Amino acid sequence: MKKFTLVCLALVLVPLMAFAQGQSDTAAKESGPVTLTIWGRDIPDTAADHIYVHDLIEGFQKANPDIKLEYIPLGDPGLADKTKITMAAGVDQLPEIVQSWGGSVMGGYADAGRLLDLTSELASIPGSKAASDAMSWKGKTYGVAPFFAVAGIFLNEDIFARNGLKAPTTIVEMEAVCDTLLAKGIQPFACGAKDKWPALAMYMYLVNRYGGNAFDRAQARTLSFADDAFVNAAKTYQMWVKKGYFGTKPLGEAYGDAQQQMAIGKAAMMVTGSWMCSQFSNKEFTDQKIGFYAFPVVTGGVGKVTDVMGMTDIGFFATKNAEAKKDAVVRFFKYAMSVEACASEPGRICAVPGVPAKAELTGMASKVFAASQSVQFWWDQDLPPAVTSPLNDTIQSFFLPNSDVASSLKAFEELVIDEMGPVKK
Amino acid sequence: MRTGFKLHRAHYGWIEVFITIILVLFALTVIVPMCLPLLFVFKTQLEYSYDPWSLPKHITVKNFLEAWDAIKIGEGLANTLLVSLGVVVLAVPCAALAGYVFARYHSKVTEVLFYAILVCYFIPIQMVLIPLYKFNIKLGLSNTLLGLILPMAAFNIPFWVLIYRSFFHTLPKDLGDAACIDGAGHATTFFKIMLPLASPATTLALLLIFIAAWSDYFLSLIMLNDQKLFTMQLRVSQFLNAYGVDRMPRYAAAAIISMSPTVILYIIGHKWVIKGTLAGALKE
Repeated sequence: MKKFTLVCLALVLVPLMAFAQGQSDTAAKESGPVTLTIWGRDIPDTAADHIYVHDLIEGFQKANPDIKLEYIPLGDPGLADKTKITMAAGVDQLPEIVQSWGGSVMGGYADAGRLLDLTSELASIPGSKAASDAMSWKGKTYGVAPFFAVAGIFLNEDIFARNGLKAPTTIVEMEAVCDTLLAKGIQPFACGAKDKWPALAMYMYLVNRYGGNAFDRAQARTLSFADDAFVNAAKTYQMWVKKGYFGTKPLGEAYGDAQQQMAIGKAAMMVTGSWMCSQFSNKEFTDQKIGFYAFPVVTGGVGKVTDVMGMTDIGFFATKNAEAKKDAVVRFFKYAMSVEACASEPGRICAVPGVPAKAELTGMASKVFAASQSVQFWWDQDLPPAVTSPLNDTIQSFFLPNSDVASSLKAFEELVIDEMGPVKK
Repeated sequence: MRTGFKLHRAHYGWIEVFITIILVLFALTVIVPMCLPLLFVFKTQLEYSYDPWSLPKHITVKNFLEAWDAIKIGEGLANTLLVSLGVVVLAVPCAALAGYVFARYHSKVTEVLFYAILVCYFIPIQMVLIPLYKFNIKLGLSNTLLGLILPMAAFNIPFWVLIYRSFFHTLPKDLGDAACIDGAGHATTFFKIMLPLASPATTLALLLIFIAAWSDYFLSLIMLNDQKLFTMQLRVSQFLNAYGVDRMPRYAAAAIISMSPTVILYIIGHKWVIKGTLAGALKE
């Protein structure tokens, strides 16, 4: 009996383990002369918001048969989690290319020596400066961003036309629009504050419109995050919440819910990134006519209508593991930034010159981007990762009608002091 | 006088009715989220946006077809089966043997060892992930299914050692003594007398470890880099993460595909799960 049990166990275990161990060997033997592994966010199917990645991979393979692409879609937060752990473990297991929004998260990897400096190799690629800056850190360029997103107001044109309203250009006009909409029983704004980060877009603009480059100064530690510009913006935000501009239960609605509210015309406006252009132009997603406009200014405020908040929509950086395959990586980046590769994208703003916007809505967002004189990178992509989560928590607290916004900002400033140092006198 | 009513010849008091209602409510918190995707999956996106809670006006299977196609279920199935079986084959015998030793052989060494294993149960996987990943690289097991099976089995063992130990404690010690008098050694006593008596615990362990391994996402995400090795959960998550809840009908299709195998397995094996859970609950 004892022998029989041991033999049975061995019979099951040995082939199982041999097979499991052999899996990677088989995979390794199949690789071609130069294989580039890419960890991406989107699955490369033909859905409107994934078609660029799909065509990028297929097009590059056709044009470069000597390079094999292994694209692994990991989604979000899968991509972020896996990249973090693998980066912490060293260089050997990293893929050659990772999809990224750039900014401080990528900067952290660059500081750790995990990224490949391609400054000179990528210098000749034409593209918007804001997109290029997003994939650079401390003067070195680590990748490319073929698509860039700007924040602005998505606005339901049908609702506005029915109610004789025009896109607001000042905060006073915006409040008048909101009051009219509320009186007609229409929710002025969809937000998605339950997910925290969607509430940031409007706050970034309010701070800019009150205090101009207040964020830049706070980040450079020459101004406190509890300064008047931040407090006034927060007070305005909270006042709008109290007035019901965001509906009756904004903290119970996630970003997906906010999108649905816009899709069916339940809410009239939404301040978010232009990445929503492809969905808001998709007839399967919404039957409403939606437009895109720049965020209004505060009369007498410092910020201008041409100050725009933006971030990478689709970007890629190269890891140190790609050092031996630098030529192949540069060829991939150049193809990703080509008119040919970018032409299939239906909704995003392209950072490459000469790529026309396919959808009317994208055209409107592109105009806002083209007219911009300064682009402020999205705060939670620009600040050190240790303070981004508390930042979003702080902004979410503005949605509590009785919270003291000035105290919340003071508490956030104290955390910033710990992480980034005190304000320089 | 106690008020109540009769149902199937049994007399239920108001307290029992109240407790039943509470239990039904608890059950609904699990059952309703599992059934909700069925309400969404047959709708178009726009129909869902306008009226998520109504029954579908026109049934569409497009969401299922897209999810099925994107997930490439056939490729993931073999990997997941291999991982789940591997974890079961490694974890169950180790846990049973260790649980028996800790229940029957008391010494300072076994006590220390038992508590050392117990401590491992309380260590969250996230805490040891980076060293574990580095260790796998050193052993040459990174990006292999074996490199996933071994840590997954190791994480399952402490809990089942605890369960087996408690279970073997409930078995009469005299059985082992009688076997010993009849000339049985330690191994014979374990394999021929004790292990067959522990079959409810073993069935429970087999099922639950299999389901846990089948449902794993995080460890698989970190340990596997090659798309060909990806398990079912990773493939489903790729789809779910790419579409998100803002595309609920497609999301629902992937959720249904994802949970189906474990739900079917539980339906088939639920009798053994209940039997295993109750085994040892009453001591005569």
